[in-house]
Amino acid sequence: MEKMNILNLRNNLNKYGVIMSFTGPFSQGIIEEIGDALRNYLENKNNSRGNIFKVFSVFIEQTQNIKNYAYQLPEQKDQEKILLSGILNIGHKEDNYFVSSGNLVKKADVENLENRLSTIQSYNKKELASVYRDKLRNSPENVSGGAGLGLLEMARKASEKIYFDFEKVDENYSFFTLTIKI
Amino acid sequence: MDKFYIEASKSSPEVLYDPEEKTLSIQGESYPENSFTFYKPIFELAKNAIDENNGFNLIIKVTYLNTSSTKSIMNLLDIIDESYQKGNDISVKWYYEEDNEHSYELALDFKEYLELPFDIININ
Repeated sequence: MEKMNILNLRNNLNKYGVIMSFTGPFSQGIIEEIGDALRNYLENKNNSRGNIFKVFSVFIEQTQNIKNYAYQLPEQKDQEKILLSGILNIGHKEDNYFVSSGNLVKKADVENLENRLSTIQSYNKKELASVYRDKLRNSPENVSGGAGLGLLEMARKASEKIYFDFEKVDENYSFFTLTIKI
Repeated sequence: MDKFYIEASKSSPEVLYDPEEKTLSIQGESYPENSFTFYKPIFELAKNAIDENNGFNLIIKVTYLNTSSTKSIMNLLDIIDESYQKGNDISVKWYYEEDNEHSYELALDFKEYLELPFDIININ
């Protein structure tokens, strides 16, 4: 087995400002536990309640998005692969907290997701609020999630434009990264 | 109608319906694994309660709702708003703590579309 360089890993986490990092499948129980740890951390750093809920909310939407995306896929092997690929990082850099997640996305879903994110990225705060309210009101509820409200909610909580990226991994999958600065 | 009670968990709120007071209260935080499954019996309860009595009060004291729970609460509010427009005596009271903008902004998002009396109350 290749020897792990933990110092390197630690230095990289420091470089990016990562406070907490979790990789692997997110169960509801794990989401709740990390969420608790996150809120305790933010309270100890004397953040306002409003700020704590902003960071917590983005954390919840990102982790539940990965789960919901995986479970709506018909094939179990896709579900497992995507759940295992999930990574979630919470950090602090230049006076802002950020929540950054990554997961595999099926090639066939990339274009649609990319278009939705580009559209959300182009909205200002006022447009985001109005599109959110319209969707809240008019879109049908689906069994797996909140009718596409999650991405809009994160953009509303963001202090600057959302950042996203897709990197091709192989013929079937790309790796999707989403970073929200709060 | 009987009393209805769901105990709170870390990611789901306490839900209580008191038939004497004709009041449904939802308190706590809401980000369950599947909000659709969690809220479905509550929609049924609200429909039945309104059919049986002419009167229904909803009290909401939630500090945090994820987006799928938000959608579920919107559905619940739609159900009771429709009854209000048919002439039923209905009210909603939304309580929030002053330093919790998240809860206050949610209340505003909901209120915009509803015709029923919707009070947003600062607890502090």
